[in-house]
Amino acid sequence: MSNKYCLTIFLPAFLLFVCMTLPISGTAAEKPVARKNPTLTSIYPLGGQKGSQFDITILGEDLQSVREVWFDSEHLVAKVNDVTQATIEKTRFSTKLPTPAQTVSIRVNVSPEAPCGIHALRLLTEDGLSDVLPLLITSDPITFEQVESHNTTVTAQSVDLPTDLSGKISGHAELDYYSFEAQKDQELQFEVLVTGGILPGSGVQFSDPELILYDPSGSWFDSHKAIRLEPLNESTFNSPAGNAVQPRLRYRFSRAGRYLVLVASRGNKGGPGHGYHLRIKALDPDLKEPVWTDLLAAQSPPFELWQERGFNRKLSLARCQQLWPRTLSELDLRARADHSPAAPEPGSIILEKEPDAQVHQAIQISRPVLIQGNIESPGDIDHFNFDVTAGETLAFEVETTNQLHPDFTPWMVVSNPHDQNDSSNIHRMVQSNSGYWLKDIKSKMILTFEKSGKYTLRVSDLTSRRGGSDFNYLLLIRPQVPHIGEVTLRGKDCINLIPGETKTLTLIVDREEGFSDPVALFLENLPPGIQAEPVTVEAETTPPVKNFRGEVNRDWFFPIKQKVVLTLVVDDDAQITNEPCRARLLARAGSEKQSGKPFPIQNLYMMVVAAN
Amino acid sequence: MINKKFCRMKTSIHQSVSGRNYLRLAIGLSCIILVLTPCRMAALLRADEQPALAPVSIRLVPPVTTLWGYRATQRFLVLAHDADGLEKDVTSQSHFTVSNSQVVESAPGGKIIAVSDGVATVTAKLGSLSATAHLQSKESDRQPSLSFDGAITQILTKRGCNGSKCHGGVKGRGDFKLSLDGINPQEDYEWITLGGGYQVLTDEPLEPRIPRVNLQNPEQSLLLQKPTDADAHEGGVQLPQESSDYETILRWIQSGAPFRVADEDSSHIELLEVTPADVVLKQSENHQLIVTAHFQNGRQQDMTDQVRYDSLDPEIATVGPDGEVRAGRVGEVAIMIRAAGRSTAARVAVITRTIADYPQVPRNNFVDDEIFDKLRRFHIIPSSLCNDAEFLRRACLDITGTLPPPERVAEFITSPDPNKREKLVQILLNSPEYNEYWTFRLADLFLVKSGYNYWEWVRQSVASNKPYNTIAIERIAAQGVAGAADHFKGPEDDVERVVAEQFRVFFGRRMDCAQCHNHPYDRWTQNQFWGLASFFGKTNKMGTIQGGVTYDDPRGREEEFGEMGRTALTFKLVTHLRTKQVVEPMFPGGHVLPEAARSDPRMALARWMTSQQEFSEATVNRFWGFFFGRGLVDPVDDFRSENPPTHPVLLKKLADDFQEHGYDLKHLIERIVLSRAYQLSSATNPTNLNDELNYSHAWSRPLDAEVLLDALASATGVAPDFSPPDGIYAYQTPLPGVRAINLKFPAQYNSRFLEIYGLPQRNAVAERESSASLGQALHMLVGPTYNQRLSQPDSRLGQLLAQDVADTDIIEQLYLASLSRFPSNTERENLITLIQSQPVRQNALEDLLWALLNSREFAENH
Repeated sequence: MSNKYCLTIFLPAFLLFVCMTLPISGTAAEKPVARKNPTLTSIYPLGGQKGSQFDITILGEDLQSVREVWFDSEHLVAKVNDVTQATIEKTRFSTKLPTPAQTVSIRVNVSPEAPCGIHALRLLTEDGLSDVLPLLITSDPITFEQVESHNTTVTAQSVDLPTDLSGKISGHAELDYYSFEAQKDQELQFEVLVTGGILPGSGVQFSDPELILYDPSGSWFDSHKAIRLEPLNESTFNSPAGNAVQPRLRYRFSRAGRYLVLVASRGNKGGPGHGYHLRIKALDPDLKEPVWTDLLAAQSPPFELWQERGFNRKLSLARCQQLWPRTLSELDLRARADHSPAAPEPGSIILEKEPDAQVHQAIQISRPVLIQGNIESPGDIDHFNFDVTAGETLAFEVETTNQLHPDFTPWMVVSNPHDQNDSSNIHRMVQSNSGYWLKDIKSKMILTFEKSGKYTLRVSDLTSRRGGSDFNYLLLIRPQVPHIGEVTLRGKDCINLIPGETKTLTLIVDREEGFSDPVALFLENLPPGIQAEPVTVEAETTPPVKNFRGEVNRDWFFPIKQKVVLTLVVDDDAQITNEPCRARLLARAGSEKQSGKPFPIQNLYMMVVAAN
Repeated sequence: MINKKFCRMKTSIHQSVSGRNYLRLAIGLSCIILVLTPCRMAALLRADEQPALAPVSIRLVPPVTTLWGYRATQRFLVLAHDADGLEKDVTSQSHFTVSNSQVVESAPGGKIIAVSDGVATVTAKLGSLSATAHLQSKESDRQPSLSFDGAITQILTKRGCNGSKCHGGVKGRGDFKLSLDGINPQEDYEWITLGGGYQVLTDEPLEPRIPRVNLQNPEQSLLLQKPTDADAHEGGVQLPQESSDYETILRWIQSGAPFRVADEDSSHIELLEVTPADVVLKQSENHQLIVTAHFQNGRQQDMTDQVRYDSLDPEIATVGPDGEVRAGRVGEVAIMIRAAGRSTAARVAVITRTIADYPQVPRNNFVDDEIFDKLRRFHIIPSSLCNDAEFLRRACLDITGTLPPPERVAEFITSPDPNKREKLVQILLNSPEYNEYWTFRLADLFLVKSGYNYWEWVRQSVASNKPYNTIAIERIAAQGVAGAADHFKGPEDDVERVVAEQFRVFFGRRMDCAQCHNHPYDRWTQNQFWGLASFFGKTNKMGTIQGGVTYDDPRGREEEFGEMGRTALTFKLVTHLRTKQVVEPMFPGGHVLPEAARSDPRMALARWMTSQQEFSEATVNRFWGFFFGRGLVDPVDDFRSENPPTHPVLLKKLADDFQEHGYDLKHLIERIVLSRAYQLSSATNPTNLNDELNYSHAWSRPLDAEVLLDALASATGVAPDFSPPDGIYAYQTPLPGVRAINLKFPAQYNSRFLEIYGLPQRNAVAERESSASLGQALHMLVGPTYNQRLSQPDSRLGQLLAQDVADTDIIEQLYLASLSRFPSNTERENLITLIQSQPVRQNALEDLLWALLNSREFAENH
C-alpha cells in the first residue's frame, strides 16, 4: 500500500475520528477546570419527627469541605457535627472498585409546623452545592431497627403499634423481620417508604423493597414456618420516573395474636443506601379507605411544573386558558389570519349519562367541551357525536380521576364516516430489536379531520372486563392550540461555577400541536458576575425528529422536540458566593417583535466557588 | 436399594475423585437393604398348566334386543362362567333354538335372522346348562336403505378405505381423499360424485374433476374399478367383486348414487357399543366381540360384521374382520372398533393363569370399586396396603412436595390412631406447603415463565382453593393487566399456538396437527381447529410483550410482525389455512358464536370448554397422573380415539364427582389419596409383577428436580442458594431461604442442579424430563448439591455432631430425615459396625448421609 494511498484513506478518517471525539460546540469553549463535585449517595435514618431534633448520617463524595446544610424549607435547620473519611464499598453486584468518600454527621431541628413528607436536603461545601437527598419528616415519633440481627422468624424484632420505624437493609440478602400483636378483627395498614426515585436528581437508589406479611404460627412440617398471609395489596409506583415501588398492604386479622412483617430488598441488594421507613397503623374506622403516605405532600415548588400529558394531570375547561401564556396572546392569535382556528370560547361541561352504549344513542357535543364520564360496568361504551369542518384539528385529552391506568385504560376511538379507518389513542411503533409492535395508550391525541361531517367518539375501557362507579374519566375536547409544552433541563439543577468559566445548559423544548413560532429562553436572578444571553430558537423547517421505524401517526401523540443550549459566562472577577442563588429559568413564545408573556420553567441553584 | 446405574458409573470413575468414595460405595451397597421392593426379587411364575374347568353357568349376550328391518340379524354370544371366575366364549360349542320360527330363524355362529314382526326367545344350550334371550322383530318388511350417508360410508369404513393409512390420511391416496372414518360424509360424497383431488393448501380441487361413479355404466365406476383392482390400485384388491359390499355399492350407483334416501330419517350412529368391553383370555384362547350401533332415530343394529377392528398391539391379541379376538402373549391391549363417524374400544387382557381363591380386597371409595373390579376380572391380585412410613412419605411428597420432618415421621409411625391417614391428608391439604407445591405444579402446567402478576394469580388461585373451572376460565379469557393476562404474549403469539395449548392444558387433546389438516389419528378436523382459533383472533396486547394490557379488539388482531417501515394500521381476522376464508368463531359441534355474543369471544369459549365433560375428564386424568405416575389416559394430555382410557368408567365417575363438588381440587386429591388403590405398596406379588396399567401396586416415580432439591435441603438442613455469581445482579433473585418449589420462574435462576435434573423451560406443555443422565450421576458424585452440604457446621449432621449425639441416634435421625423411616435392625447393626471401623467418625457419618441421599429410595416417591 503506498503512502499516498494511506494519506488519502486514513488521514481523513483519522481527522473525522478526532472531530467526532471533540466536545460539541457548547462545551468546546469551556475552560478546563479541575473541580470537585459534591455528591450525596445515602442517608440514614431517612428522617425524623416534626417538632423534634434528631441525628442523621450522610454518605457522599467530595464532602470534605462541607460547612452547612441547605433545605428547601424554612421549617428545617441543621448543623454539621462531624465529617469523617469513609469508603463506598463495592457491592456484591457491582464491578466498581471501592471509592473514597466521606461520612457527614448532622443534627436536624424540625419545627412543629413543618409539613410531613419528603424535604430536599443539600450540603453546602467550599466546592459548591451538592445534589439533593430526600429527608422524610413524619408526624409520629420514630423508632429504630435494633442493632442485633433479626433475620429469622424466631429473632424478629418486636414493635408496638402504631409504629414508624426506621431501618436499613445493610447488606446482601438481609432480611428484616418485625413482630407485632394484632387484635381480633383489627384491620391494619402497612407501608414501606423508600426514597429512591422520588426526587429528580437524587442519587438514592433503593426503590424496590419487599413487604410481606406472615402468620408465624408454623405448619405441621415446620413449627417455625411463617405462613404468608393474603393481604389486599395496594402497592403503587410513586416516582416521576415510574420505577419506584411503594409497597402497601392492608389486612384484617381474624384472630388475635402475634404476626410478622418482613422487609427486604428485591434481588437481595443491600448497603448504606438501603434505608427504609416501615409504617404500621390501624385503619381509621371512620374512613372506608386507608390513607396512605403521600411522600411528595411537602414538596411545594413556587409554581406548578407544567404537565402536558399523563392520565393523572388535572383537566378542566380552564386548560384552554392555561395554554394562552404558553403561546402568543389570544388577541395575537385572532389577529393572525394564518393561525387557525380562532381561540375557543369557554365551552361547556357535559355529564355523560346512560343510555349511550349504542352508536344511535350517542350524545351530541359541541366544542370545547369537558365530559365527565363513567364506564359504569364491564363492557360499557360511551358514545358521543360531534361535527367538524374539513381541515379542523382537535385535541382529545383524557384524565382518569379515580381508578388509575393501567387498571383503567381509557380507549378513545373516533369513527370516520368516510372510510373504515378509525382513529384511536393507541400509539404503535415497531420495537427496534424485535420487530414486534410496541403499543401504548396515550392521554392526549391531536386529530386533523380532512373531511367535514359528523363523527362519533367511542370511549371505553380497553378491556371488556373493567368498569364500575370508580371508573371515572374527564375528557376534554378542544380546538388545537399551538403552544410551548414541557421544557426540561438535562442534568442536575445545582450549578457550581468558577470565575472565568463558561458553562452550557442543555434544554429540550417541546413544540406542541404545531407550535411554530420562535421560543425564547432566559434566566432570571442570576448571581452577580454571571451572564446568560437569552436564546431564541426558530422552528425548524423540517421536523428534526422523524417517525421511528414502523411508527404510526407519531404526530398525533408527540410534540416536536428541539434541543436548546443556554450559555452561562462567569466573569473572571465574579464574587465567590456563600449561599446558593435561586435562579429562575423562563420561557416565552414569539420573537422580539411579537412575543407572549414569560412563564416559569424551573428553579436552578447556582453558586460561584473558588477553583481548587 | 441404591441406584445401581449410578453405582456403576461411580465405580468406573471413583479413582479420579476421592478415596472416601470407596467407603460411600461400601455403605451404599451394604447398608441400603432398603425394603422398597422385596417382592420384585421374586422369580417370575411360569405359566401354569391349569386343567380346564367345567362351566358353572352360562349367559346369552345380548339378553334383550330388537331386530329392525328386513332380515335384520343379531349375533348372540354364549359366555360360560367358570369356577375360577373367568368368562369364556363357548358360542361355537352351544346349540341355539328359537321359540317362534315365524318371527326369527337361527343361523350358524349364533346368528338370528328376522323373518316377520313379533317377539321370540332364543335359547342356547351347553351340556346341561342353558340360557335365554328375548328379542323383538320390527319393520321386518322395510328394506335397508341405500344411501351414501349410511350403507356406503359404513362399507368404506369397514374396508379401511377412509382409514388414516389409506384415503383417510392427511392427503389421501392417489389424489383421492376421504374424511377419516367417514366423519364428514358430505365432503366425501362430493369427492366421489364430482371427482377431483384434494389439495392441502387450498380448497380448490385438483383438476380434472372426473366423477368416481358412472351412473350410465355403474360397473365402470372408479369406485368399483379401483378397489377390485380392475383399474390398477396401489392398495390391491380391497373389495372382491363377489362380496356383498361390492353388490351394495353397485346397487347404490344403479339407484342414482343418492347421498341420503328421501324417506330415510337420520341414520347417524349415536353410540357404538361393544360387548364385552373387557375380555380376559388365557393365552391361545379366542373370544368373539359383538358390536351394536345405536342410531339417532332410536333404532339399533348389530354391526359386528360391518365395522373395522384393529388391535393396538397384535403381539398381545389379534382380531379378525368378524370381531373374533385371539390371545397372544401376556399383557393388556385395546381393540379399536370403527364404524362410520364413531369408534369405541374393547380392552383385552391375556393372562397365564386364573386365581380361583381370589382374595377379598377392602375398598375405601368408588375409585377402589373400579380399580379392584377390573383387577379381579383380570386375575391380578393387588399389592398389600403400604405401611405407615411409606404412606406418610408418599402423601407428603404428592400433596405438598415436602419431606416430613423426623419428629413427624416418628410420631405418625408410632401413632395408634386408626384414622391417622385420613387426618394426615386433611392436615396436608390445609397446609401452607400444599399452596406452595400446587402453585409450583400449576405454574409448570400453565407455562409461567415470566410475569410476576401471572405467578401471583396462580398462587392466589391455589391459596384460595379457587374452583378449577374458574381457574380455566380466567386463563382462557384473561384480559387487562392482572392475573393470567400475562400469559398472552401479544404479537409473537400465534393464535394457532394459543388454541392448541389451551386445549392441551384443559381438554387433554393435542390439536396441533389439525391446523394444517384433519388430525391424522383423531377426529379433530381442520375446520374445527380454525373455528376454535377464531375465538382468539381478536386478542391484542398493549404495552410491553410481558406485562401489558391484554384486550380483544372488535376489528381483529393487529398486523404486527415483520412489516418494517409499515405505517398503515391493518387488522386481520383468523383465516382458514386451506380455504383462505375468514373463519367465524365456531364450537366443535358446528355451532357458530352469534354475532351479538362476540364482544368477548374468549369468555364464550372458556365457558363452553369448562362445561364439557372433556374438561372434567382431562382435569381428573391429569391429577390422577400426578398421584399414580400415569394417567387413566396416558400421556395425560393425549386423549384420542386410538388412546382409550384404561378405566373409562372410573374416568367418568371421577369427572362427575369433580363436577358435583364444584371443581374442587382439594376434594379431587382427597378422593384419590384416600382410595386404597393409592395406598397400595410398591412391593409387587407374582400376579401383578408385570402390571403397568391397572394400578395393582404403587409405581415408584423420580422426584421432580425442584422437589428433589428441596428434599436434599430438608434432609441435610442446608437451604439452597439461588444467588447469581458475584458481580451479577438479577432482579428476580429470590429471598434467602426460599425453597425451589417457591421459585416463581425456575428457569431464570442460577441452579446447575435444577438444570441437570430436568427443570423445564416452560416453553411448552409437558416438557419436563425425568430420565436419568450422566450429568446427574456426576453431580451425585462430585456436585456441590450432594457433597458440600454434608460437611457444613450448621447442617443437620453438623448440629448432631456438635451436640455429641450417639452414632445410633444419628443414624436414626438421618434415616428419618431422608427416607422417612426408621432403619431396620440389620441396617442399624451393619452401619454401626461400618462407622466404628472408620478412622474419622465425621467422615463416616457424612458418607452414610451421602449414600442415603444417593439411594433410589430417597430420589423416588414410592
